[in-house]
Amino acid sequence: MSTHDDDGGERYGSQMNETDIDSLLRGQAPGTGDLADLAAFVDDLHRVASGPPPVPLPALAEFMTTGSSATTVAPAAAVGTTRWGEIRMKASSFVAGLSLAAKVGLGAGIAMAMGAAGTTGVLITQTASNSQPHSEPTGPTATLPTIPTTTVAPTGGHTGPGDTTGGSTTTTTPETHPTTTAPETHPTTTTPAPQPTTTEPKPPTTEPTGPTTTEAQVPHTISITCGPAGTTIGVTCTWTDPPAGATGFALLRTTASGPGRAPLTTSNMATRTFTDTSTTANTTYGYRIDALNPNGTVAAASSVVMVTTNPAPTSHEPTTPSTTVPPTTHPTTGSTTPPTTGGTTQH
Amino acid sequence: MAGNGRSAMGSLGEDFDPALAQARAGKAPGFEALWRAYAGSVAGYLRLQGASDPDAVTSEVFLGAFRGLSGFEGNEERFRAWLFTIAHRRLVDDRRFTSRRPVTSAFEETWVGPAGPSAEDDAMRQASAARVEEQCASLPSDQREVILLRVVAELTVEEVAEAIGRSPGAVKALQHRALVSLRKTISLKGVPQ
Repeated sequence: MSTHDDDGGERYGSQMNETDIDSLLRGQAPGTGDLADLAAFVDDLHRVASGPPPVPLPALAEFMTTGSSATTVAPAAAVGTTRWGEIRMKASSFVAGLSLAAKVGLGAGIAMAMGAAGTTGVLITQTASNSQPHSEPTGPTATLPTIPTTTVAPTGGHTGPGDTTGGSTTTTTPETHPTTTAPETHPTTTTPAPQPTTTEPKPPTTEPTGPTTTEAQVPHTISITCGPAGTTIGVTCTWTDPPAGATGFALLRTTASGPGRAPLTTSNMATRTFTDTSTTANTTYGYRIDALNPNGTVAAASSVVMVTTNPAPTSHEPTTPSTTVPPTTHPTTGSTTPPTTGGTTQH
Repeated sequence: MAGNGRSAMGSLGEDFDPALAQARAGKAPGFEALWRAYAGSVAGYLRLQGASDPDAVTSEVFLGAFRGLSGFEGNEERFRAWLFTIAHRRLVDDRRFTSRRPVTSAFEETWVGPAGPSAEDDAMRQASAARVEEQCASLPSDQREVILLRVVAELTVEEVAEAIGRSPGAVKALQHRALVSLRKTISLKGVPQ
């Protein structure tokens, strides 16, 4: 193998041959000598990438429990919810009574048909896909079996377009977890009335039929409530007691800016509240609380609660809408007191 | 500590065949065993590759794998290679999707209570993680792919070649260039001990 490289690798790579590289990447290189720096990197890389298993998505959790895929890959979600890996689309509008609005090819190779359910919801139907971007690997394996057509998702009410990227907020609260509620100060929390499902096919499983639900199959034995921290741009979260046996918590936060880790603080077991002060004004975040077992695995996970932070504080509040210079008194009663710039002094 | 080798990632060893048989039969303990053995590393691989939501994609990978178990034949090494091949392809899909629609939603760990390691250990781990992530991110995507599949997934050159659809020679060239580049980066920035 050549030891030359386009980016000046001779200086750094002249001592590496194939045997060295193979040993290095297998974690078998000596911890001293010329390759010690790379050996340390490989060890760090292996350690960093070998964390505990994450919480499985509801569809997977169900599959692992029942051995079948009675429901869809994508769990029920609110109209307008943007949740990667669950429903990779959002409905900005729909027409009541439309039986089939669109077929959408998803990144995961799953086709979904979207149409209206009654007058206030959207029915999402997963179908077997013939247009998967990738089939599963060949060789000793088989392609994925056809996914049975499955009806998902009672979607409860819909109070608006629900575009989460536009600054609005969608709260996803499983019906199976009645104590998980969004704060009343939540800007645009959807509060749907339960919808009858008589005109649409029933889900084949125990999908809830009430308000917006996204993680019905996850064993929610812990819940979290989050809301703006007073008039600041922070977010305060509180959560319930963990299930028996749990010895710690992990608070997870979603952002719209992509992956990243930003440890903020540490907490002890007795803590049931946390104020996130690293937030940005007028930005939507999602929070989830995980209860942890002593070995670090997740004992229970709450649903995700979305919160939009307060706008950045301003130096003064506007008063009467019809004047550019506020009056000095009676700002909310429509008083005709002239503005101070007019040279009149209020008595 | 470098140089002492390491045990196989999440290896089930002699428990693999029974777990696979149980999973094929739709038994929860089999799924659980496979998930616990490999999900952490798959998620780590996806995270270091910059997946938009590594945990969600991990679930997709396993759902795909579990649904296709009836067609799988092979030992644990083949299963690992197969699993990470699925992960690689899901990652390609993920990138394709996010390139069309860049808005993503990823969890970031904000804090861990006392169930985790000590505060000192946790701080060191986080510093190490940040350094490794930065070093990986400095690599071109094809080089990073090869390094992660070799180190995190513990695949052979041939298995990596099969997973990413390149020749073994191309994989060797990529891993060599990656290591040269990493060595240069480390040399310039140093490696905290």
